[in-house]
Amino acid sequence: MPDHLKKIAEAVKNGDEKLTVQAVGEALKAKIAAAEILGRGLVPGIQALGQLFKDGQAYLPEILVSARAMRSGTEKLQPHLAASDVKKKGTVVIGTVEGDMHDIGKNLVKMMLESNGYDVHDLGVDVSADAFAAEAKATKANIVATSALLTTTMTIIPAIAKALETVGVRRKVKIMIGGAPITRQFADEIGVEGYADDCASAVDEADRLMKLAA
Amino acid sequence: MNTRERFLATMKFEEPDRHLVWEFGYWGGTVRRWYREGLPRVRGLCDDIGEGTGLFNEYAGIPRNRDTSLDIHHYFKMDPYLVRVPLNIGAYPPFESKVIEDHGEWYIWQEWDGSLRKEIKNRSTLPTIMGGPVKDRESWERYKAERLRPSLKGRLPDNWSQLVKEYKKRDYPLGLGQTHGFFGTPRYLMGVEELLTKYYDDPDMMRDINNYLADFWIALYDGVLREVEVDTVFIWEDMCYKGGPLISPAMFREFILPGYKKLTSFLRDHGITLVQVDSDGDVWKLIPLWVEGGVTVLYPFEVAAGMDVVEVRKAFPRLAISGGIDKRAVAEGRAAIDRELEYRVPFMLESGGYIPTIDHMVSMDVSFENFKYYREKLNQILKKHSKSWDRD
Repeated sequence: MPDHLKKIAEAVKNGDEKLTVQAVGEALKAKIAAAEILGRGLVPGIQALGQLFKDGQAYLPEILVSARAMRSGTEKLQPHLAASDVKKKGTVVIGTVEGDMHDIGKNLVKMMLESNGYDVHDLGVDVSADAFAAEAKATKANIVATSALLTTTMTIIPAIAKALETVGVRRKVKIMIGGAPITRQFADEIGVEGYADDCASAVDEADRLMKLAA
Repeated sequence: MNTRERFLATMKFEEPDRHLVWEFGYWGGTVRRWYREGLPRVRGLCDDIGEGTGLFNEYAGIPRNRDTSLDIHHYFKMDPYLVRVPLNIGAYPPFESKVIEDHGEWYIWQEWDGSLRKEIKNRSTLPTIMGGPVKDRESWERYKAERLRPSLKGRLPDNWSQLVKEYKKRDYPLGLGQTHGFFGTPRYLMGVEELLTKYYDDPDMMRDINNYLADFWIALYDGVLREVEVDTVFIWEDMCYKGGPLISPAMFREFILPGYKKLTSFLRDHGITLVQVDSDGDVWKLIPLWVEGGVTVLYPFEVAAGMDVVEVRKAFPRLAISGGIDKRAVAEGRAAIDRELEYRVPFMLESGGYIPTIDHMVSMDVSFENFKYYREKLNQILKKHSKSWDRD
């Protein structure tokens, strides 16, 4: 059994979509539980890649192909997963701030959060503070994650905190930010809880925020 | 010395009579702000220049040749512009610029180079490139056959012969190259995410694109260099962000470096040793590869992404540099400007091969008053480190 799971993890880490799907199929044939395949095969694979990225040994192309392999492996697994098998770590509402159309970083963070067990609601680009707040309330989100590429659009982020306050969920929802001009210092200055440098550390930061909320 | 001689002496680590007074450029929104804050409006800005339109401190030529930063240039008595030969090194014939999808608040439009860009209506921000005409090998073969024919026909302006005459008696530096590069151009062709995965999905096609672009640009440049002597060549990549390169150095070596080597070898054979690369972000890991590929000048060294021209100079003593002054310090105020300039500029001028400018377009949070102070202070330092100064 460990060989099947190891093979899946390796395939995801290496971004080999075809091999991932094939290995998931083999594991299912070997009667390994779907939850086991997910938790001890697919997820460790993407986590290993995330670690390589943080260590400077993997780059964005590797993140993209690994996330794609993970997604295809999960799709193959989906019919065999019971709802109780997929324990979501938390719910994240994600989007770029109003006035900002640059979504590559946001898409990468979304991919990594989903691959690491988060339920992610993607509002896309140019998202108003009110839209973030409404979705966070509707989905009972734990985290609102947003990014800004420009110094001009990063100034809009505090409005999201205000909008969450207005709809009465600010105390329940942590805010996590990132993007080219964003720093931890800026996050501290505007009073938001989370900051991530890149898509791999965004997962660590989301995990940290979930513990803070617990 | 004239500006051309000064530029060449500076970039080749020789001693110019004085240092150049240049800037990198300005966002449209910055210039509009400065008009409100006292910059004399002589020429003004075209109405269609948005807040997020970049106005370079040079004549860039393609696709629109507009001298849009002239009011700043004249007010601060900057040295004559560098001029780029208005040679189209991208798609020809151009694609029709048109709206592809209208989503109310925002829309997707096709740019003349075939790239698909997403932009917000009625608010000026930077568009994002979301895709392009190349999806697979078949569309790439079609694109290069239809749009990248290695012929100068249609790629130079109608007054080319007049320009050639002017260039021959010029006192300013002349450059070749537009916003194109071995990573930069494929990004226009297919969008960033598609490009990044294509290196895995179709490595043969990516090698072919790199090789074809090198041959294509060599063919075009060869035609121009038969008529005009050029001082420098520009390559645009913007392939790094604050976390480092978008692709690994190994991937750069495999897919990108061969094109650099081929192109710069051709340029050296034609006496052009100043090959400049423009990339934002943290470029540290790629500098050795660019140097290996024959690049001799890098800019603009974004401080917010962790770049420090002083450290780069120590690590790469013969790499010429322009830029590297933190735009955030200029936005902050006098004390920060003093600290920034005193730390970086004297050392860089003393070690040679340096043109000081802000580390990208001057951003909209920089007041006209702060910019004036920064330029006055910088000019004092330039004067102090120049053999002569003819500008008082």
